[in-house]
Amino acid sequence: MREIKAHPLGFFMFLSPVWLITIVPFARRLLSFRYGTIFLAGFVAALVLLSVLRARAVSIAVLGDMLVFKKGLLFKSEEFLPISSLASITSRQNPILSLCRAEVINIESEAENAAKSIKILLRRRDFERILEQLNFQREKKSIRMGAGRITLMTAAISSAAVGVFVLVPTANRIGRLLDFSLAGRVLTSVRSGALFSSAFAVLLALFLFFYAVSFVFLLIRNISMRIGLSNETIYIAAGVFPRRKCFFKKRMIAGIFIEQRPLIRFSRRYIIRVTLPSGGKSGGESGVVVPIAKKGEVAPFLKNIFGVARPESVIGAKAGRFRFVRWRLLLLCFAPTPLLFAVQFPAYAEALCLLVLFLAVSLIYGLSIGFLAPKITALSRSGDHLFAAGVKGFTVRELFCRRERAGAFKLRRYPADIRAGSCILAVKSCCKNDGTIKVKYIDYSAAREYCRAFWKNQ
Amino acid sequence: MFRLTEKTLIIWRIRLFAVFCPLILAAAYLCLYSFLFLAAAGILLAAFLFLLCFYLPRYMAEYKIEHGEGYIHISSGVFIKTERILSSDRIISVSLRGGPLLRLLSCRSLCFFSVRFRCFLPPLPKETAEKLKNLLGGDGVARD
Repeated sequence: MREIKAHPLGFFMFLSPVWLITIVPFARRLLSFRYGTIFLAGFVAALVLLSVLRARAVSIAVLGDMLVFKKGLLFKSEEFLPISSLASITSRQNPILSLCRAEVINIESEAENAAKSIKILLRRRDFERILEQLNFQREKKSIRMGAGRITLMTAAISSAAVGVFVLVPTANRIGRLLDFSLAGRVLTSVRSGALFSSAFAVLLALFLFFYAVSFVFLLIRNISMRIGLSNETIYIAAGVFPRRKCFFKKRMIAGIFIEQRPLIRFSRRYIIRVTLPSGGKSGGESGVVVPIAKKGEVAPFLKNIFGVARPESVIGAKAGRFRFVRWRLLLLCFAPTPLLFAVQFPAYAEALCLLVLFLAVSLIYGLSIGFLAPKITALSRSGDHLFAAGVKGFTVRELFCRRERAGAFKLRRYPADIRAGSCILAVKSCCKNDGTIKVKYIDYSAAREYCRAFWKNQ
Repeated sequence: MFRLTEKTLIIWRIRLFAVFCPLILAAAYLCLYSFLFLAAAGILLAAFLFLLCFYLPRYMAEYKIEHGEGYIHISSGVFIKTERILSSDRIISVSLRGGPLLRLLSCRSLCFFSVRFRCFLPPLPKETAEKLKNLLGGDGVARD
């Protein structure tokens, strides 16, 4: 196969926004000098020319069972990636790229180092050619996920923390560009009481604002989701601005998580999250979230797509319900403590009452999950897959993980566990971004034998 | 099965002494200025004696490394017992390390890396460390 050059617009990938933020304040001062305009124009032209030349030096080719990626202008490099080690191929396309028939491609390998991943801007026809060469063909038939499901899933996975990570860096960059301190203006308004009358209202408003930002960001990212399936490949397309498509091989899947978060739980639905070993550091996908409807749809989906099923016999919880809920009960007893401060500081009584109410509701919900935990907790095998189920906070999680993608097991026994003959087993997949599932209070000797047998050479 | 030896206990005790003694002496000196430091010195001394005479010997006795068919099982802990079980076939790298103190006592410290897991084993006699290294990584593994 001949070498494929990057799209001519690829030079934009080398014009980092950092340059823009650095140049603009410098440019303002430079323009005040006599030949400042000429110098500035020359500098910008040199920057653009360098980016164009660097973009022209980027190419990709498939040679036998290797993917060859070349880049570099003065310091040239050639990367050789075995096709068998490719974890995922992700493409992103915003409206401008769509008009130019170009896509930003991220090819992730199993290696955890971002340097071993590939990022390139390709023409659409070249991308289709690469997909064909790498056996990542897209199936023409695909399932479309409804907007209602996507919205519910987005509401469940959104969080204020995501909103902070999305908005704050962008706002800071824009502020520096415009020589405008957004954070300073907001703080001044808060202190003067122009916006809010109490600290609690400020915190609540900020929480809701960042949650809304996260919700909108993730909704734009996930809306209009399509899933295509073949014997070997899974294809997921989602998002509007930009539109992203992810292709990955089923054998590369690190972990299959079935989760039920609080909001999803109320609607009796589940989310399936599939993770890949690469970790997605270079901008490629580390995993995909698939909204699934009701309980009855999960088992057929797992069977038909991934070839796994929930096992019949499991190692279940050895402890009673009280052990699962004792710490939450203790916290619930201490939840009214802030009310004591309300007597001392009557000005904050309203805020403290709301805080106690919030804590009490959260803990009562946590207790209800804790009471169900003994039935949910499970450890077993499904063919060549590890199966583990447990409760973490307010989320119920199940994990299917292939033997070669599983991480080390960790058994922990506290004094109460040693007396009761139980243990807490932490299991995880090889994907860096995956969390750990803790299977709590299962029989110690059964768990130990399970872990040893799991790793035994076949 | 591999267990820790008296040499490991000696090394731990020397390290403990090196960490706690300056702190206790500093607290004792500062007692001249404030009574609170007397309490701090007392707490540090009690912790030091507890670790030296009770915790470290028990920890050494509880620490086990088992190598079975395809797995490595590492057990440790005195009050809270922790066990790590991982596949011995998926160990990516193994390294032997030895500072001046370890080399003086003919010991080496072994550490190995697997998928999302790394383990730093306590100091072991040199022969035991070499044997364990060969079991985990085989010959030809890079040595630090």
